[in-house]
Amino acid sequence: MRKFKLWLILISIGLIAFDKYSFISNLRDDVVIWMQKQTSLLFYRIQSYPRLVLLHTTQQQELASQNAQLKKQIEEYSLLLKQSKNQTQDATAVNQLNPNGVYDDFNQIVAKAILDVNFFVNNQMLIDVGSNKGSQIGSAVVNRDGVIGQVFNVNSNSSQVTLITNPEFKIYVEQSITKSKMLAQGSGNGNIIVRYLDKNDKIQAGDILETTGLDDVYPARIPVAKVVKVFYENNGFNSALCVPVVDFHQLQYVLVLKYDSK
Amino acid sequence: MIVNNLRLVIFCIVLVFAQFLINNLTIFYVDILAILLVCLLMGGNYSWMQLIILSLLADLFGHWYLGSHLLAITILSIFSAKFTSFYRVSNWLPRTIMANIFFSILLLIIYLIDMIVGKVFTSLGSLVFEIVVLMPLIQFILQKFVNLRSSDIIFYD
Repeated sequence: MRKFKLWLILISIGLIAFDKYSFISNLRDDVVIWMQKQTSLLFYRIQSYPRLVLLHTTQQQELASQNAQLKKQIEEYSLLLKQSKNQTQDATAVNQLNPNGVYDDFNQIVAKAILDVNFFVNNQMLIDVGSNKGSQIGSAVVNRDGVIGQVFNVNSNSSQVTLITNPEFKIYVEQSITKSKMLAQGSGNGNIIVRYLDKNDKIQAGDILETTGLDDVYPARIPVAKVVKVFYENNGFNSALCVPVVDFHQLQYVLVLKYDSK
Repeated sequence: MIVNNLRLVIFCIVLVFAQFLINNLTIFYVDILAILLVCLLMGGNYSWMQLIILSLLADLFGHWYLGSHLLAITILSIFSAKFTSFYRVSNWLPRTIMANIFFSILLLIIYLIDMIVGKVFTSLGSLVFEIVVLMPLIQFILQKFVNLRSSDIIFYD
């Protein structure tokens, strides 16, 4: 037993010397440092996990609200861009009117249409051109599709326009093919009605009614309305129900035409 | 051998984990396996294979020089044989006191080895923690749950 213990003591001393003067010590220290680092990291993660989760939740909520705001902004900007494009196209189209010299006898002013709720009730419209830019009472208002109405009140920076659907509005028109003349009047509910048509007049649904150019208010051959229905009235004449060729809901830019007597 | 000492093996694994956690997560730097070594040595019913394996494990996990625990426990075994009989018949408190004395000697030997070799580490707080808290605790667990005699097993079952 004593011999065995002596051997153990010698082996122990040998191990200590081996550990001291060999690579084992460094290797063991490296392993220990690595394990300590991993353990500290693991415990740090465990300790900070609730905070991280809460932080993530808060960040997610912030990002979600930011995302919603950005989406809203994108929608607003895309709408503005679309409106801007439409306005640009409309302004270009209005400026490119008169390719055949139809408006040569008229002073042309480009104006922006302002529609409000009264448009539906009163059949009136406001434009951003007034007496400062030469707008006058009685000036015709058209766009690339056709006749819109006539200026009936002028302010310094704006003008009021009576639309062709207004019951007080009357316009002298002719059928585009047969050139038969007739008087059209607004009916107040978004339509135009032509009364006292001779039974022999060959007018039917789908015909386009144009300006005659005889009244010095409107240039000739500008579309006014489209016939929807022809019906007989008990007074011995036919009547034609028409709809304007211009879609008032999509008005952007209009052209104010003032007859130049020179 | 593992089956015969299953409770001791499980207890050793638990102690290794406990030592690793205490050393890495607290201000103490303890040597729990050395306490177990002293307890086994004082109990007398050990095999040298157990002591050698435990010594090397203690060196590895305690970052002492390989063989320092083995050298210390071999030196201690020369004196401990005379106290084994008294230790066996003693109760928990005398056992703890005796084991603490031998444990202090063991730490002193390891300290001397470290001083000779060149790497010295002392922590009075850790020493007090080991003597006051860990030694009685390990004594209690060894007595109640690990070193069960056949009559104890029958009694507990």
